[in-house]
Amino acid sequence: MTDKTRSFQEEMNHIHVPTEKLDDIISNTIGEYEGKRKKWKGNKIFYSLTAVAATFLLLVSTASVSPAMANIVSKIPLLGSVFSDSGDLGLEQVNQQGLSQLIGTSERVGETSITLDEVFYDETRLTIGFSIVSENPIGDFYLSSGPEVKINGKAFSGASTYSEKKLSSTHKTGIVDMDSMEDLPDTFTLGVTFTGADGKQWEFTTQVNKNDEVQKVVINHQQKSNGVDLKVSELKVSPAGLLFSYQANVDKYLGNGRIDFKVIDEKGNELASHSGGAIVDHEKKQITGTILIDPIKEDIKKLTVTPYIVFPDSSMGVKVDLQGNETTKTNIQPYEGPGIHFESFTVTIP
Amino acid sequence: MESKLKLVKLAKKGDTEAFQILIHEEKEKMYRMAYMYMKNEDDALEVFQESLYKALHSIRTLKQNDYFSTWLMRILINTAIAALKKKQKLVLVNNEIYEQIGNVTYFQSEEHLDLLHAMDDIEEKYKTVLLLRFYQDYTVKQIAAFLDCPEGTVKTNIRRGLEILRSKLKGGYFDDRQNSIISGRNESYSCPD
Repeated sequence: MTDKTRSFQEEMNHIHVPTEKLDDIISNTIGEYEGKRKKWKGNKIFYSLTAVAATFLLLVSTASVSPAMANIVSKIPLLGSVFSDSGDLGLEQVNQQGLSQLIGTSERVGETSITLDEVFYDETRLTIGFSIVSENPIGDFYLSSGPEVKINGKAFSGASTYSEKKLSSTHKTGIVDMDSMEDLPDTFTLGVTFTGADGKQWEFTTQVNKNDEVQKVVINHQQKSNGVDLKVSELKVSPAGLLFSYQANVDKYLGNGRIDFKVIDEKGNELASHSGGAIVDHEKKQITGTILIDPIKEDIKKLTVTPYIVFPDSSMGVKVDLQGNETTKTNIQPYEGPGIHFESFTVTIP
Repeated sequence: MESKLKLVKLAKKGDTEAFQILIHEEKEKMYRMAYMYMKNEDDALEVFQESLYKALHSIRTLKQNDYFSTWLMRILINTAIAALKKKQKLVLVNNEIYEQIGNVTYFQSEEHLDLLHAMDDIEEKYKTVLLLRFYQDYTVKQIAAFLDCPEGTVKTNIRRGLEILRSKLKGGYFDDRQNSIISGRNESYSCPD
């Protein structure tokens, strides 16, 4: 320890610490946490008594509980685990760094409970993590394409992706990811409503605050290839990911083609592309969109970006209804023009 | 150290008593760090509480048990900076304000006020590395790992932070950067250069 360190520590140690208040905070916070866990177990016991008594006229002592409900309780994931176990590097990072909001609110309807686990919001994404556990197996499309999301009471109308992770037949987690949050306020009331295939609903409301750790990098790169004039305007760098904004003027119909970016950092690592929302203006023949990429390490200052257009096989286009029945989309005309190839360009992050 | 690792393992499994013991060992340092950012007791306590809540609910996600203290401090610093940005202000504290909020009695002499006063106005990125280096006693390598940025950047920020502190303690000039901080512009603590 140097003299500098010693004197600094001595100075810091002169800051008065309100120890009693800290102790109160510690015991209250832990007490509340314990209370929530016990309350759930208490409700579980009551539910078991009424449900079993109603259907089988059996007496269940307070010392024993429904094995099915005990199973449910044991499976409710610990708060913060949806993001941390998601496989999405950006979400894992914001969870690990304490940047996301831990919610932990549960609602139970019948034999199924949904927990709103965690929320993260900044200029690159608004992401919600939740879990669903049930006494009975949960159907593959039970929650259809995900919950309805409202911002300050109004339905969210931007681009979003929904994914589920099946942990068991009675336990799933899910993530709703919404891109490009420029029009939203710094703080808002988030409403999330889940609707099951059987019509049951779970509603949640929570306040969401914006994270400010976003760095904007102006790019203004432009290039053309066979009738597609692409301009990549900016990059937003966040612990949750990289968000590229672009605009493409097209002089021909692209079918089901969509623009994506291959991004490689200066150490040769390819960063996965997650999602992209785009608005197509057929009159102006213009596509305006964003693409979310995995976050970078702090020491990365250069990225090589290669735009490309991906044409999913039109025969793979399907529509899925609430019952899980698939119908093939037949309205997409394939692209029949010349190959569209873009050159790579470099983005330097200050 | 071994007993601490055991406590961390237990806490990760949901043992709140183990978690409580761990927090009691860290609480003073956590509070003082929070205070250095928030500059008043009420806000520092709020940051402490929010950090504690986050840590309690996400300890299961801690990957390396021997990094518990570092992990906890990272949550605290992130929470403090988020709280500052929410308030959108950095408070310039002088002796008069200390008297108004009643904190002046916490300091034993005028000398101790100088260093901490000087730290009040310093940019967050310098403050964070100085606190980690000279209060938490982290090495440059540890700070680089904590902030996920190059060691060179950490060294640069420590050097620049000390230069600013030195000039303030000698009654030196206010440069443009400091004026912008006083006016309330927020800065990220990440390592930009």
